[in-house]
Amino acid sequence: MNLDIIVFFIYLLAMLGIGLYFTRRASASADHYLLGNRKIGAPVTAISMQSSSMSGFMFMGGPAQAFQEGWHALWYAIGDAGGSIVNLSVLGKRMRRMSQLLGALSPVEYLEKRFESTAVRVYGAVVGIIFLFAYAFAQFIAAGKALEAMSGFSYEMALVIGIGVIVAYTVLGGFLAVAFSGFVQGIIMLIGVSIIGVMVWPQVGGLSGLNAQLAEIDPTYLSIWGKDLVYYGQWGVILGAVLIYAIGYMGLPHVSVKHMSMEGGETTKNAVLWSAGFNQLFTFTPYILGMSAIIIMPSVSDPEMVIPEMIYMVFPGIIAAILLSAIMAAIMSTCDALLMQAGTTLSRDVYSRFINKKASHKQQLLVSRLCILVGGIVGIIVAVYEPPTVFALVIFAFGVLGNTFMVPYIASVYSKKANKIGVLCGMVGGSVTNIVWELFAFQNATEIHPFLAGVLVSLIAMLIGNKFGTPPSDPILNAFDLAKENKRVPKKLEKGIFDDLAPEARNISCFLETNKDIQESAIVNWSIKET
Amino acid sequence: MFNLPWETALLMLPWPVIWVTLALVMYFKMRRDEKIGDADE
Repeated sequence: MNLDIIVFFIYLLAMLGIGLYFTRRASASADHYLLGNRKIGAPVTAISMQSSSMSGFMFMGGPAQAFQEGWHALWYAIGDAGGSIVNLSVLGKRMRRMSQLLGALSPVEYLEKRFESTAVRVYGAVVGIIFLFAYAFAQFIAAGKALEAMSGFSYEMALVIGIGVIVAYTVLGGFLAVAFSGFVQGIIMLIGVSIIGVMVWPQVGGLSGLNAQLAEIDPTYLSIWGKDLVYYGQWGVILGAVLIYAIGYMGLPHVSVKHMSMEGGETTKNAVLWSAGFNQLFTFTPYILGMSAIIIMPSVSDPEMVIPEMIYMVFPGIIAAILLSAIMAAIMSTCDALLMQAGTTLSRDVYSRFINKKASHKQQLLVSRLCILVGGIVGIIVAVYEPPTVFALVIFAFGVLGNTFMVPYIASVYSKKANKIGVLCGMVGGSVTNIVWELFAFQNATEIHPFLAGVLVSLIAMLIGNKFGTPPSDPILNAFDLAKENKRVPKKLEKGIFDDLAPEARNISCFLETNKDIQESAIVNWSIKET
Repeated sequence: MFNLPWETALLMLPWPVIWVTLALVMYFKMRRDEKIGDADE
């Protein structure tokens, strides 16, 4: 067994250890399993949010794009560098408070309770299940191929080992394992990319040297409009490239759930600083390394492999093996978050909501674990056969999820007028626009990025739809006011102390269910107490 | 700057500073909001 594999197995065992460590705590309640009992601190929230957003794209797709397009690819890095800062600033505190006031344990359930609409949940769950699983399965395939290339195992063996570990620690430790492994993986990614950057930097003569050499090969590498100026004057494309990551993460359920799991609304301010530090240190380097590859390894056959090949070129033995683990960390941190969220949607938004409404706490926990386990096993099988339909869906996954959920999440905490009809129109309008824009390649004709088109249509559809629906109920408006105001929400609520007495914050939950009166009075009482 | 065309340098290089500034502004805004909330209690 060579050194790479030994180091990689140590890394996998460490991830498995995280899952085992959190198994007991995650089993305490559905709230613990699905949201870590809303006790996740600022560093873990910030770094796991970013690491689960970025995926293996940062080590493979991003550098490949920079290798092919030069500085134009940096537009995506610019959006990425601000992604979680914007996300936390806009949604963080308010979504955390609102989700607890509503007793929501999944991002789709949150929308149903906020907008008092079963249709919103059904549409959200259908879109979520299709695209989260497709997205997760595509990440499985990427993980299997990366591990196959690094370890020399067969693709099938690499899948079973790599994905098997991800499924195991996610099933065992639930959200806590996903969040803490995401944190550890984020740190590994940062250390890994920094070491590679420090080694490659002098070889290209720093940023000035790199640019001078790129200009000698082709001056358009340095242009904001792309190599050969292919996007010249297309501001819609550039704006879409920045916005897809800068604001698009707000629409991804597996990312937005991090707001709901924070320790308290006040955790947000520290998480913003952690995000700022981590993102600026991390996000630009892979792209700059991709451009450096144009100089130091111009004949690379597969642009997606520039960083792995760079690692083998610059580093010997054990260091290379450790750095390759950073690439797997990037892929795994997204895989587990997607799998966790897809399983949560299946168990919480389908089983507990429509199949067995009276499921006990133990049943909910068991079903959540089973959904993730079955999802993972199906994912491995799908990844082995690589059906073309998965790839067809993945092209849409990020954009459709973002365009479906982003406007509703923002409206849920910023617009009192937003109602169920408006939000449903926004969700359908955003998702359909993104699919149509991609299918018919409208970007070429309109010079508008599909994501930007989806956001605009989603927003307009919601504003129009709001004219037709009924206004939100008084308890929802009270919860809205409580979530947005400067005053602290009562400590008992903020820290989730009630959850220990009644799992899932049932005492303030579920406006659509039979205990509506109790919840209305609970929120009104808090509101009166506060004012 | 850094041998980049002025357009690229002007439109791309300031972004890390912009993001860090935004983060600091948001941090102090949220801290101020908390203090106001505490003072009201």
